[in-house]
Amino acid sequence: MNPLLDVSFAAIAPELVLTGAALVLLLVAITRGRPQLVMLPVGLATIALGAWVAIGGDLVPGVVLALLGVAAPVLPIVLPGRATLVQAWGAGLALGAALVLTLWQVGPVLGADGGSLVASASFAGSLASDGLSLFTRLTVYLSALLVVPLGYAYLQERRINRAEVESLILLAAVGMAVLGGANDLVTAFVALEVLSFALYVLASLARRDRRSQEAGLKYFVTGAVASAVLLYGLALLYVATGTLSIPAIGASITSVLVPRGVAMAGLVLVTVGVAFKVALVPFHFWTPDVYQGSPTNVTAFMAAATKAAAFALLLRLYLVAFPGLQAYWVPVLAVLAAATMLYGAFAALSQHDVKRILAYSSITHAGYATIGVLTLTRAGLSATLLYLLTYAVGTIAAFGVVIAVERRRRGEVTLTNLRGLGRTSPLLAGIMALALLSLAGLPLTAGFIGKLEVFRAGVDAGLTWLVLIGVLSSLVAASFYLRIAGIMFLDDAPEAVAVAVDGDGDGDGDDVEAMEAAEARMPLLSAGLSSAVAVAAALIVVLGLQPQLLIELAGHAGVLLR
Amino acid sequence: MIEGLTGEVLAFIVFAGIALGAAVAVITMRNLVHGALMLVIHLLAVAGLYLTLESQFLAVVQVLVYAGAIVVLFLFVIMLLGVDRDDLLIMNDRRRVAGIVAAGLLVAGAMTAAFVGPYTSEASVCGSGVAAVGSQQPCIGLEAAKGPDDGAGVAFLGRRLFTRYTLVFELSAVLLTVATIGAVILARRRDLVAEDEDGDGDSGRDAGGDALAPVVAADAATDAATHADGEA
Repeated sequence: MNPLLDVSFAAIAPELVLTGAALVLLLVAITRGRPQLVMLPVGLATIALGAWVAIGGDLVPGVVLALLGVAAPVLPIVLPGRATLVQAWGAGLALGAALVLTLWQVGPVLGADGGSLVASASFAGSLASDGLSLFTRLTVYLSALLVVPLGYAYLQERRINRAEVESLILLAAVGMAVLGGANDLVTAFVALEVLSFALYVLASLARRDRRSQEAGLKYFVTGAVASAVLLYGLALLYVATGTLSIPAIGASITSVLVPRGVAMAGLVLVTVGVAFKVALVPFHFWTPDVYQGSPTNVTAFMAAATKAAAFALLLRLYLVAFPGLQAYWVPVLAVLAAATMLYGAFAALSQHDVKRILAYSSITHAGYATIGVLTLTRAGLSATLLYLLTYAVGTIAAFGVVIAVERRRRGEVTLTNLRGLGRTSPLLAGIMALALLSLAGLPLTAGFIGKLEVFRAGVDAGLTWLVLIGVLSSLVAASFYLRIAGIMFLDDAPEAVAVAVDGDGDGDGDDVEAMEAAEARMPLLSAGLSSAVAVAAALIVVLGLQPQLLIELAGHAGVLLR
Repeated sequence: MIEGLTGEVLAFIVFAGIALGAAVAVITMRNLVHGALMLVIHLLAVAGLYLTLESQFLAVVQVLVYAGAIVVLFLFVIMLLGVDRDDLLIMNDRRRVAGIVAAGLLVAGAMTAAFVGPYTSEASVCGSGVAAVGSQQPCIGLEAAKGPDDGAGVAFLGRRLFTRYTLVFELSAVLLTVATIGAVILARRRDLVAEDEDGDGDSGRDAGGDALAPVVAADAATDAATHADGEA
């Protein structure tokens, strides 16, 4: 191999598959009804590539590639004339393949010494392959895999399902995954921009909806400001330490040769930028509007996957680059976390829009996850990773139910819309209640496990006061989660439905209108939505009852490349 | 000849003078187009400064990107808004102008003191000549930062791009793809309604309106029902 070029295809195998799939789906979109023009040659080439990889010794990626190659031309045959469905299935299969490849990457390192993952770097140190990067991949790909079927029928019904949506989701997932492994400042920043750009567009997808426009613009402006501040901070860190590599910065930042003022200025600006991205409290103000206005499946993706990716950046920067300055940033971040937990919980109390409530809940959860960062321990890192995964599953299930209820309401689901959901569709209401219990962190759900681990790590690291604030905030949050559950199960269905259904006695034209009105009240259920929500709910229960495997995996994943 | 006045210093004085003068001219010109053209001169002078620092690549990029693309963009916007409207950016409040200038000077001074200071004085970390701890040295020149085989200027950059920073280079390609897709989605005049399912994709222009109609009807019906309920 050329010694100058350090390209490790195995290290970025899932991202390669996803990028390739995104580009193929884009090409398919411009063939206008003749997808085989692209699918057939690409499929054959992929099969050949898979065979070559498999013969070369890497059986799993070879088989995965070959299967994808087979699926490419088969999809349009199975789904004739349904271009957007082909896109959705293509994206789903690619994400599934990426998940399999991620597990393939975890497998050998996990089995090798039976203990923790072995951290290694590739691409001349640009990309870390350690617990943080692997677990972030897992969370991001799982979230995307759930979000793609979740949003298909929804986008279709709102008439905003453009051919590029799936490609953008895939490329955003690529950006998030690379951000999880980014081991130098440039890679981290470019990866962050990849995912941000894709999300700006996805947020403003509904161009006829003024709220979606507002969400896109707000997200873009605040995101651009945050990126600029962050970039300034990263540049100052480079000035101070003379290196872009995050581990090298960590090694030299306490050196007497590093001008302390410049390093501190960099730390402050980076903290502000990252706090914007993960929505810690003084920098959270964009979250409710953006979460409310974006198409709901995009909101679910933002809440679940973006949070995990942004926390990956935060974890790597603060645990690898800044431990030497912990005397400065730990108190600041602790205050931010406390303010975030309290503000998010109390602000949610006065909200009526369900998407806004879930937005404030995501702010609160960012505060809990920050506790794990502040511990600066391996246990804290594992707990944060676990927490982000459990939060992703819970929030996707909740947003899935919101999507079902949101039908025809065009982005507006208030608490009154949920009244009586327990009577009309008990299964949906049950899943919503389960998701809310998980978000509240009640026992026997996934959220409980995540919260328990984070709080335990916090207490072990001597952050008892912060954990107490976390518990207090959880209690407040639980009260409004339970209020939603109560509204769904205890209140009666809104009268309008009863009128619309019963009021067809006098027949004629009203009948049709009344039927339409009644239909508009019924939750939107499609195969994709039902299965995604069901899988998310099952994950909540399974992770809540049998958390050992995941806790073990997260424990092994508490490894950072230093 | 004045001592210390080497060719390098002379070039710096000339370019810096042009840059400063043009920068002042940018904000004092009454005609916006003249201001934009002064910005070109300023940017070219800064490119000259880069050249004296032996960074040819940066100088060329400065000319291409800033003096080329960005100023052209400025001119487009000015032309779109109308050249005659020179009232757009005129500041007639002297106290405000003085305040802005003072604030700018303050920020520049503070940044110079904070960021440049540590590197310039005799007692600074660079002047002390202490060997750096760890593998990284905080203040080293461009020559020392380069490896023995790296070559100079553009060749050095190219080598680094395709070795150390391969991944970022490829990732930036993905970034550009995402940005292009996004621009296409957001700028397309009308929504191409998903061209499938019931085969109504052919009627692309009207599909949007038609699609809205039943929804509006349904909303009206629910509204009517709600109102009736409220009155009853």
